Amino acid sequence: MNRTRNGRHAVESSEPARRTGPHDAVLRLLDHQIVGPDGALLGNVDDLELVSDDAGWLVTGLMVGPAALSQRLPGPLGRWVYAVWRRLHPASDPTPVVLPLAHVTSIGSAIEVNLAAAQALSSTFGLELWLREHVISRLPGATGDTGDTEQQQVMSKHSPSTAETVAGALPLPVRAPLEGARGLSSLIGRAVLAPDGTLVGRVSEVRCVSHPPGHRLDALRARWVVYTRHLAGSELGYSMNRTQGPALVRRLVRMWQQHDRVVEIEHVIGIETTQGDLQLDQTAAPRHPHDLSEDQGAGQARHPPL
Amino acid sequence: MAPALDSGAFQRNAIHALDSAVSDTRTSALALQNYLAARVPRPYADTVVTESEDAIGPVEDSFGAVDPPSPSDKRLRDEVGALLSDAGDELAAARIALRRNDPAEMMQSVKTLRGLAERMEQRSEGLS
Amino acid sequence: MKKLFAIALGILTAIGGFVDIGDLVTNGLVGARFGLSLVWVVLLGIIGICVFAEMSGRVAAVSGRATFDLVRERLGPRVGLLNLFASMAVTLLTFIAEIGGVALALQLATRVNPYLWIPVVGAAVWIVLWRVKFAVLENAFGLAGLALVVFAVTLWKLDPDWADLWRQASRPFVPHDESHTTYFYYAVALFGAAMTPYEVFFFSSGGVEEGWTSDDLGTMRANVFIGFPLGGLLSVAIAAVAAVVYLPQGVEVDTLGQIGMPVGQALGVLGIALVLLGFFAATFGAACETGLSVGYSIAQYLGWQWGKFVAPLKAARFHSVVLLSAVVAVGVLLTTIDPIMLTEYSVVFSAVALPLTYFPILVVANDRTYMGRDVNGRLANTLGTVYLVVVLVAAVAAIPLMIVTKAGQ
Repeated sequence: MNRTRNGRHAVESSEPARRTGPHDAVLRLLDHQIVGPDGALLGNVDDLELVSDDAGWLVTGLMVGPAALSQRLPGPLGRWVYAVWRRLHPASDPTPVVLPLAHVTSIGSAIEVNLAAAQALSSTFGLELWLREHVISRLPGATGDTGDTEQQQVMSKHSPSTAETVAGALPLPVRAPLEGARGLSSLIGRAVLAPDGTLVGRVSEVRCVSHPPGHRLDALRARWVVYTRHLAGSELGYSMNRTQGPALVRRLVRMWQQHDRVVEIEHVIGIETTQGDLQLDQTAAPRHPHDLSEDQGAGQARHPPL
Repeated sequence: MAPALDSGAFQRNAIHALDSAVSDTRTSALALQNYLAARVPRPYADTVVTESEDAIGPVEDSFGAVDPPSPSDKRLRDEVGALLSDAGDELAAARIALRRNDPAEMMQSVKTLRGLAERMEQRSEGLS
Repeated sequence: MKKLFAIALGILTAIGGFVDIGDLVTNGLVGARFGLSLVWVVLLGIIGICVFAEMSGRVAAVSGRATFDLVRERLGPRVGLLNLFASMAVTLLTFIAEIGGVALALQLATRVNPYLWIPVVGAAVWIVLWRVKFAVLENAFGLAGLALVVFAVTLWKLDPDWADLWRQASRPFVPHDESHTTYFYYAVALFGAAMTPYEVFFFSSGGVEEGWTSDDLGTMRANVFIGFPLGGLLSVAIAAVAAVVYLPQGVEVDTLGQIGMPVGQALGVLGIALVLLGFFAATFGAACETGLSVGYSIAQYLGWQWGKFVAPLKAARFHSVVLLSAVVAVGVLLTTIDPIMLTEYSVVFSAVALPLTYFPILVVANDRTYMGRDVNGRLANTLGTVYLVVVLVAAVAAIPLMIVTKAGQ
């Protein structure tokens, strides 16, 4: 029996549109397990790489590791984790690990990546490698030679500053962040102000669509920004989905999230900076995220603004 | 046990100490009795009897450490203290009898422990 | 035929593996002090663990995600981290108590000082977790745990007043010499002993270890709905035996030796041998489960490779955590702390930590993109929601009750 331990769940095969359908970055991508083709567990999506192009914002890669996670932990703890990571990293000027989206083969309960990415990612796990060498392999009965070649370890130390792509081929499976990239985490939780300056919420979700539209997932274009009065519970899955059960919890969470609103990302001013408040422009037409689901991809607001 | 500030609390301490001692003595008696009837093996009985003996020490100590707030409480302290001390002695004797594997001694211990437990239980009920 | 055998094995393993040191100590203590007037809590806890184990097992089988993956996904890294600290602390506390329990059982068998046993047991648990295959581990200790059936046999042999026992159980009352707060404190403790958080980590991670798929849902449900309740009945038998032998004598039960003694009284030395085997299997098995669960929770939060289903060198961080936990557990126990007291605290703190893990499971079990058609039906949701409320009530009430009753004095 061929049993793999990645997300081999029924849903995937019945929804091939999954890959081109809208992706809620926080709910469906962030904090999910990354899995290799043979079921190997390769870390969580600790952050998402966000770059700007002429048309707006693109999610171009998964960020994995303590450097990325530290950005999402509260103040002193996050700084401490970052400092420890810098100190213990073998390279003199370490950069966070980014896995380009092109190497993602499917998005389900786990994010599956291809073999090259899996191998490259494994070689970035410093703690695992150190413990393997100094502790676990010293214990009697330690089996499972991973076949990590020196070449792969050398590759992990090579940190190019730009993604090198050859026409038609995939980029390097693991690289440093692109110039001018930042983490999606720099957007989440930031205050959103109405045109008149009143606080209307904090960013809780960014809904993306495939870019370019088609089969290969090279990047995701961020289309909508969702903000909420109460950040707690925003990752549960109720904000974007009006039918998520159970009934009692749904009703309570709906009351809690009744002031959630979604706007097209073009109407949000201030994303270029990584700190400070964001503001909606005059033409923004906020509506409740549950209304968005009905006309996802349409691009035009069909419902009157709330 | 917290230091008692009034008679009521002191009496509650006494009840608590007596109940613990009743529990320890009856457990020890039960273990010995079962061992004599060859219902439990020696290591098991020994562990239980020793644990009961070890348990009464702290009970005696913490009861004795509290000052009685009134003269009648002082009489109570002496009475209960004596009972607890007897219980401690008996539990030690039980352990010794078991280690010596002396059936007659053990049977005597069972009787004494049971009698002592009765008296302490009655005293405790009298106080509540 | 083979499938039937697998189901039977699973059920028997579930029965024998249900009881751990928390169930042994809490049921013995409560039976001796409150009779059977708190049995309703044990039943409540059994149904609750069935509901949530089935849900977490289903999520693991269908999506391949174990509990702590879900905690981080649905609560985010910050709340997830708090959750991780709390869950790991409780699981580690339970792990320490279980190892202590093994040492106590060995003392009863050999009269050798438990402090000499503790390092041996710690090393043995770690070696088993390092070398022994997952399925062998589960099956061996689960089946050996069936020896605890002696408590049911003992109860029958003691020929108690069944009518009186039934009256105690069916009309819950607070004994005249106990306060209401103490009664409810022990209700929370019993509930925490029946619905331990680690059970859900272990069950769902174990499902991934064993490579469950949607085809295995039937077997999984048989294990849960038949195995767990029968295992829970063993807990009730332990309480009933204590109620019959110790309650009339006013004896407070706070040692493992007291809990097992009635079995000798009824069944002699053979009974003692079986009950000691049962104690050993229950505590050693649970020590393995909690030790693994400490590793599972941190590995799943951080996305590390975990599990015994991969070769040890491929999961170095996971195995390092398990090794470290064993060392810490032995260290803590060697400070001469009383394992029984640790157990009593661990069950109450388990009750406090319950909602943290059950809530994400309930939410994810309702997520169609994960579960497809195996999403929660109405029954699962009704029970799941009811238990969410119960679990929250228990969690909120636990610490205040502990303070007011000074941990059950």
